Amino acid sequence: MTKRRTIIKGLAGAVPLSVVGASTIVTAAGNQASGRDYYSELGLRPFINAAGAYSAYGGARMRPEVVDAMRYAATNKVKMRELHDAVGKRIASLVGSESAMVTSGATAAIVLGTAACMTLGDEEKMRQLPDTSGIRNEVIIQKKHRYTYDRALTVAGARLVEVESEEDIRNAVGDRTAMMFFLKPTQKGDNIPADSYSALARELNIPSFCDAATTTPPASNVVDGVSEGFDLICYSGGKGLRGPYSAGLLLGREDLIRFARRHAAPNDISIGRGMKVSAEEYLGMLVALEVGLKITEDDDFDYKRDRFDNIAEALDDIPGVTTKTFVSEGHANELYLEIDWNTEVVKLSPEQFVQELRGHDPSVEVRAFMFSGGRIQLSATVMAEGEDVIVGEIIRKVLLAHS
Amino acid sequence: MSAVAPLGILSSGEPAAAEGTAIPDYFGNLGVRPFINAVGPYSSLGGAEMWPEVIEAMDYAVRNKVRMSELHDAVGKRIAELTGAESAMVSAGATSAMILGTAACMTMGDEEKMERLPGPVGMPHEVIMLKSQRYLYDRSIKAPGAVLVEVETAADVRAAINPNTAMMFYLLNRPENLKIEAASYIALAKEFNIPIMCDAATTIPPVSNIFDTVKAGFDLICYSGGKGLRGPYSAGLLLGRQDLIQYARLNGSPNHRAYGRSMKVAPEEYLGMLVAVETSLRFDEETEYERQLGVVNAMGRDLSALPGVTTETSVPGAEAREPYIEVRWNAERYSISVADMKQALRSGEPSIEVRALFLSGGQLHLTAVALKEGEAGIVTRRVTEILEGSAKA
Repeated sequence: MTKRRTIIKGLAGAVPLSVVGASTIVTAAGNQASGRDYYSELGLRPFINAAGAYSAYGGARMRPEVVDAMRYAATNKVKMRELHDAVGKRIASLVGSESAMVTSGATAAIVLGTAACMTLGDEEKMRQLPDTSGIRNEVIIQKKHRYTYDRALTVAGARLVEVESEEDIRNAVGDRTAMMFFLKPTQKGDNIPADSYSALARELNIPSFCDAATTTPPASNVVDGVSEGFDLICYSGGKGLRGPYSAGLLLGREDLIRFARRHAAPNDISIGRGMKVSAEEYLGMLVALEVGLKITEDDDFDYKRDRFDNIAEALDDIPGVTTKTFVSEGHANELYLEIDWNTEVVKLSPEQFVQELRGHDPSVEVRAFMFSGGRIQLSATVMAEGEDVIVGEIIRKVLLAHS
Repeated sequence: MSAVAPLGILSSGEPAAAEGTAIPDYFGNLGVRPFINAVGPYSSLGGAEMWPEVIEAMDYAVRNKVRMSELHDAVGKRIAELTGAESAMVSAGATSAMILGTAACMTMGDEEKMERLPGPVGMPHEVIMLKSQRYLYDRSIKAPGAVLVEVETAADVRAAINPNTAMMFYLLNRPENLKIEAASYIALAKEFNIPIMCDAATTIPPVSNIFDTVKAGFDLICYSGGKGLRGPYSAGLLLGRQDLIQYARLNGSPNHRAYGRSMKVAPEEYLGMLVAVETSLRFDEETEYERQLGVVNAMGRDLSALPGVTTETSVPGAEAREPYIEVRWNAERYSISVADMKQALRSGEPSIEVRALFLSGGQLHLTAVALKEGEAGIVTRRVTEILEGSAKA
């Protein structure tokens, strides 16, 4: 703790409070050759992301090693097929899966995996999608696993068959069944847990697919996920794994990954050529995984706790305000800072609070409402060192203004 | 790459690789061989080399975060201004632009129809296209569930249009053998109020083609970003009518339940695409064309010095203006086939990719667009060695 305080003081000194309100966040442009400040030219306001690695907010901060790898790949050209082969093989050996590919995000992984299970390498059928005449087009899903992103399951032309019990599944499986889908984590729980579900799929000889997109960090969860026995499992690359924004992972059975690749860019036989992945992203995804697997959860949490401690410290003398750092429940182990206040003392609604942070210069986004059950929560996953100090000052200012 | 600054402290909590620290040889470590690209900026070969300005802009976007919807608005507006289009968006490539454009024309912003994609049920889903323009990538038009209707003449178009017609399609780089002129085809689309989309993916350079194509009256135009425009590999442009671009965006990422959420475009790709357009518009294309012409002519001179070998320099008509040489050899003198030549160049050291067979009418073609300094000499040396190795006694 003593050491941490020292670091905080050092940083607080390096980032004077006068930066609040200035365009600190864009001055990173200053160390470019051209010195151009593109966002300012475009009239765009940068913001501090204290909400988390959401796609709408630009995803995660890529690890420095990932950025380096992407620069390397931008200037060293190789043939895409060879790159896909080599990276896929290396990722598979890192996570213990039979095979692997990089996709243009977790959604693309779901679309391509579903298409693979529907057509199983039959070229005629691949060409025919999304027309499913004569093609297995039913995807079994637990009713409790229905969610926003199950939309991806129908992009290749499949339709969903909802089930609630093992018996339902046995009744539903037939010659139209293409795949059995599993979501983790789910807010509503499972009727059939992961191990029974994948075992049943094996018994019925139906390919099983698990969307584990949001179950990192830590990256080691990928290794655990793979070991659960689903035929295919997918992850988002630009969130918990801190890889490229428009990248994801599809891991699993060698034959199914091979089929999925045929549906995808740069192949042109099927529906997935629009889901392009650049060489930079392909390599960047591998490096994100390599680095992520070397970093312990403790290191990650220490970094985030430091950020939260700085924010909490800025607020701890405001009457009626309490802060609490906690680990999220569910499959991803994510650390959050929850901020609460007595609305008798600080006369401000959570909605107003969010609006004021958003309208501030610099602008700040926090987790609120849909993702946090109405609570005000901060994530440090996309927060750079120094931004915590700025966020602490802004929140302090906003809360004091209504005290 | 030296132009790219290291990550600043505000962008990352962690130390970046120290300045001067060598980046690992990732491809070497993976056993992936570099190669000489005498073909061009094809997707399967990693596309074009990005402008240094694009790499710098991408580096900036990695370090500075903005909200995606605001970024999409601002970049789209700026690209529209630069190209003269009413509106613009960045897609995950030209194919993605075609898919989103088609989806837009099928659903026209109707939420229920968008949720129902892929069609064809419950929405206009027929796409009219000229028979002589059927090509490999019309596959993408069918991805959101559209059905292609082939036509040849103006009368065919009139007969084909019905309430299920979602769109008319035109392939810009194939104007040959048409029984209807492009202008009349476009006029028919206007007459019947059917949105018309143009695939112009491979028609740059020259970049000025964008202005001409925008003025031609297409409602939507698709470009590849990572080829002639030298932008990010997995980026493309969709230009056109304000309402249709808006509908296309509704079908794309990062909208949660969009049909096209899987075709993600990173913020660095979005900004990089803008800077690619800016840089391309400033670039002296004539000098670059002369450079390429000089390189291919030199290759032609070297190779045609061999007995029984002839070369001819050409420039494609409607395709990207990139000169190439066709190399022919006397089969009486050299036994190797074009296919075997391609294979021998590929498996040799260094590995060389050339245009042959499928895309060149069975002949060996060499281009200079993706050749780096000194590589042309290596290509002619390898071709010479292989030819001489197959010389008949």
